[in-house]
Amino acid sequence: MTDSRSQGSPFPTHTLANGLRIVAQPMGGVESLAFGFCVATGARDEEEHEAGISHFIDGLAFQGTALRDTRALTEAFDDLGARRDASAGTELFWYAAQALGRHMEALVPLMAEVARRPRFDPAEAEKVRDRQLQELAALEDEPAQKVLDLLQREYFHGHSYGHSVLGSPESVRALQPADLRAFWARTQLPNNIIVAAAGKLDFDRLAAAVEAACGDWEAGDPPPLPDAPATEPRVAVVVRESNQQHIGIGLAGVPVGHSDYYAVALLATILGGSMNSRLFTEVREKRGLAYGVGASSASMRNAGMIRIYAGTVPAKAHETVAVTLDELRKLESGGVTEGELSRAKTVIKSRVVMGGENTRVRRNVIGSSLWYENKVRTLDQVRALIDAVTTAQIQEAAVRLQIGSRYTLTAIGPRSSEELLGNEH
Amino acid sequence: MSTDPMIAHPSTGAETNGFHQHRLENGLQLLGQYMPDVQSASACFYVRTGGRDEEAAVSGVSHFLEHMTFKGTATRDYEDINREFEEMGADNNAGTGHEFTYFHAKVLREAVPALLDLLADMMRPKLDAADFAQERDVILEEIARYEDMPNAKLSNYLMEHYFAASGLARPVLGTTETISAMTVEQMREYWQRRYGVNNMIFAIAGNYEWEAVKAQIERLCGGWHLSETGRSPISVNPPSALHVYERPDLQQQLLEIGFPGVAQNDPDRYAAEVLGTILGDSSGSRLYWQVQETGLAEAIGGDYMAMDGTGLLYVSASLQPAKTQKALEAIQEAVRSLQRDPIGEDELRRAKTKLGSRLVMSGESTNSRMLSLCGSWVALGRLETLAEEAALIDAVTLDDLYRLRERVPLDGHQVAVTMGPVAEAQLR
Repeated sequence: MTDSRSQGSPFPTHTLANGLRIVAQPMGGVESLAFGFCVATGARDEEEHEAGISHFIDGLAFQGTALRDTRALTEAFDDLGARRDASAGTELFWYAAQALGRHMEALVPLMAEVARRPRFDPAEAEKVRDRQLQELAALEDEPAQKVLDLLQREYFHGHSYGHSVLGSPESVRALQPADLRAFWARTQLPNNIIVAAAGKLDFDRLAAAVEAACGDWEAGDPPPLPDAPATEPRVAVVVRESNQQHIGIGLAGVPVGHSDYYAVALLATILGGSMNSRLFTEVREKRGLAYGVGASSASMRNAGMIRIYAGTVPAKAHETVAVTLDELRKLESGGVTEGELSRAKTVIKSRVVMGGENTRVRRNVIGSSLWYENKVRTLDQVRALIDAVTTAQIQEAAVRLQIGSRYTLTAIGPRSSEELLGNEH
Repeated sequence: MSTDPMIAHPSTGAETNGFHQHRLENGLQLLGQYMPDVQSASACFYVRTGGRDEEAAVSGVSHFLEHMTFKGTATRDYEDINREFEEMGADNNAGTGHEFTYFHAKVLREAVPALLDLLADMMRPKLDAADFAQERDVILEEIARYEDMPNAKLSNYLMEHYFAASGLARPVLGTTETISAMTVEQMREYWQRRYGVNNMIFAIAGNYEWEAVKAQIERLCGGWHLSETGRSPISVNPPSALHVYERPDLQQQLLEIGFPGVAQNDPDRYAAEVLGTILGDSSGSRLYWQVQETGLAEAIGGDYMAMDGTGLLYVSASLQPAKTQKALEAIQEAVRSLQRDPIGEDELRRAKTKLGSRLVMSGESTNSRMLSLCGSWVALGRLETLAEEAALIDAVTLDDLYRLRERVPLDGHQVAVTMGPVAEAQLR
C-alpha cells in the first residue's frame, strides 16, 4: 500500500487495500472535473470467439446498472449535467465522465456503480449488437478508416495487438450476455484498475469518495500481459471499385516508456506529422499526388508501430507509394536535420503544454501513464525528455528499426499490389 | 496555471468580465477574452463570407481561396508559412462554411506576436496563377474524397433541397465543374469583393497582452482595403418532400430531415436551444428514447442550426435499411408530439442543466471561447459572458417553449433526404 498524499505533489496517488490505484491532478482556473476508471484490458484480451466483446461492453456501459434501468441511469447523469463515455481500445478500457467539480461527490458513486454493477440487460444487448454490426457495416463504407484497421491487423498478424476493437460480424452476432459477464469478471478487477481525475478537485475528498464506493470490491487475477509480438513485413491489398485508393503503411515503432520513445515520436512527426513534414511536402505539396497523407507513432505496453496513411486517386497511387518508400529510405540513410528536429520538438512540446489545459486530456494522460510507466511526469519533465533527443539518436533508431526497408503495406481501392508496388515488391 | 511563478499576470485593461473590444477606424472589429490560468492563446481572422455569398458560377471559391491563403503572400511562400507555424508550435487550421471563413491557431503565450504577423499576412494572399492551377488538383481530390463520404453528401443534399435556389443550396466545396472552370481572376475578384477589413473580425482568447495585440493588429491591418459587407437575405419555405438517393453499394441507410428553425439573432434563440435539446440531444432526448433506444436507428441526433436571417431544425440518423420507413414515422411522430403536446418540467430542467454544464466545460477551451466571441458578435453585435449565457438558458420557461413553437411551428414543412440501399418505391 503506497500513499503519496504529500502536500504539493502535483499528482497525488493513493492505493486501496484491494489494489485499486487512484491518481489525480488538481487544476486551477477550471470548474470542470474529468473522472474515469482506466481498466487494463481491451481487444488484446479477447479470445477468437469473443472478438469485439470489449467494445460490446463499452456500448452497454451506460445502458443501466444492476440498480437502475437505462432511463433512470441516463436521468441520473443528466441531472448532474455530466458527459460520459465508455471506450475500449487495444489494451485500455475507460469509463469516463466530465462534470462540474462541485458534483464530485455524486459523480464518483454513480461512475462506480456503472463500472462495478453492470446490468448486461438482454434487450439492451440486442440494441448494442445491432449498433456494433452497423458500425462494422459503416466501416465498409469508410475505406480511409478501414485501411488503418486492416493495417493494424496485418502489422501485428497473429498477435492479440492486431485484434480489431469492432470484432467481426460473425463473432458479434454470437456474443451472449453470459459471455459479456464472464469477460467482464475476469478483466475488470480493482487490482487491474486505475481511477484518474483531473480538474477542480480536493484529493482527500476524492480519495474518500472512491474508497467508499470501491473499497469492498474484491481483487482477483487479471489476464497476463501478452508477449512482445514478432512482426514480419506483409502486403495485403483489397481490390474494389472506388474513386480513391487508400493506402496504409506500417513501420516498426517502440513501446511506451522505451528510451527511444520520444525519438520515434519526433521521427514520425518529421516524416508525416505536420503540414511541414517530408511526406506532406513531397507527396502533396510538390507533386499534388494525394489530398490526405500523414504519419504518426502508436505505442503500446510492449510494442509500437509507425503508421502512414495516404489517400489518392487511383491513377496516382503507384507514384504515391514510390515517393513514400523513397522518403523512408532517405530517412534511414540520411537521418534528419537539426532544423527539422528543432521544429518537431516545438510541435510536440506545444501539444503537450496546450493539452495540459484540458481536464479530459490530463485525466487520460495521468491514468494511462501510471499504468504504462508506473509514474506520472510533470510537463517540465516531459519537455526535458523531448529536448534531450538528438539527430544521431533518431538516425540510430531509424537504422535499428529498418525504417527504409521493412514495412507492411495495406490498401483498399481499384489497384492491385503489383500495380501499387511495381518493382518495389 | 495561476500558481506558476514563471507566468506573469500584467494589468490587462480588460473589462471585469475579461472581455476586450476595440474597433479600428477602418472597421476591423477586435475581440478578446483574457484567461489568466492558461499558458496559451487562440487567435483567428474571421471573415464574414462563405459559400452562401458566391455567384453560382464560382461555387466553391471561398473554400478554394481558404486553401490559397496557405500558398503564399507577397513576402512568404508556402514553405515559409508552414515552417513558421511549425516553428511557433502552432495548432493551426482554417475552415470554410456557408457564412464564414476563418483562419485560426493556438500557440503558447510567447508566440502570439509571431502568430498575428503570419495570420495577418495570409489575409493578403498572393493568389499566383501557377499555385492556383496546382491547388485546383488538391481541391478536386478533396471533392472526390467527399464523394466517398455518404454523410457529407447527404448533408449537401438536405441543404440543396431545403434552401433551394439560394446560395445555401450549393455545396461549400463547389463541384468538379465549377472548380475545373474557375479562373484565378475570378478568385481575385471575389477576394477584393469579400475580404475587406470591414468584413472581418479578429478574435483572441487565452493568455495575451491586449495593448500589444491591439497595437500590432492596428499596424498590420490599418491599411487594408474595404469591401462590401452583409449579404442578400433569403426567404425559405420549401415544399414538404422526401428525396431518395438509392445507393445499393452502401451497407447503411442515412436519413436527414429539415424542419422550420430560427435565425441566429432570434429573441427566442435560447428557447430554441432548449427545445432542440429536448428533441434531439445525444443523451436522454425524445429522439434518443423513441428512435435510438427502441432500436430503430443506430444513432440519431437533432438540433437547431441557426444562421444569418434563417435557420432550420435538423434531424440526422443512421440505420439499418429495412427500418427506414419505421424510423421516419417515429421521427415525425416525435416532432409532432413536441409541437402539440405538453412538455414536462423535468425535461425542461434536464435540458437546461445539460446546456449550462456544457457551456462552462467548453468555455475552458481557448479555441471554443475564441469562436464563440465571433459567434456572439455576428449574431448580436455584442459579447455575452458565459455567466450571462448561463443565466439566459436558466431563465427559459415552458411558456417560452410554447410561444416559440406557436410562432415557428415544427410541423410547418419538412424536407427529408435519405441515402442507402433503400429504393424510393419501398418508402411511402
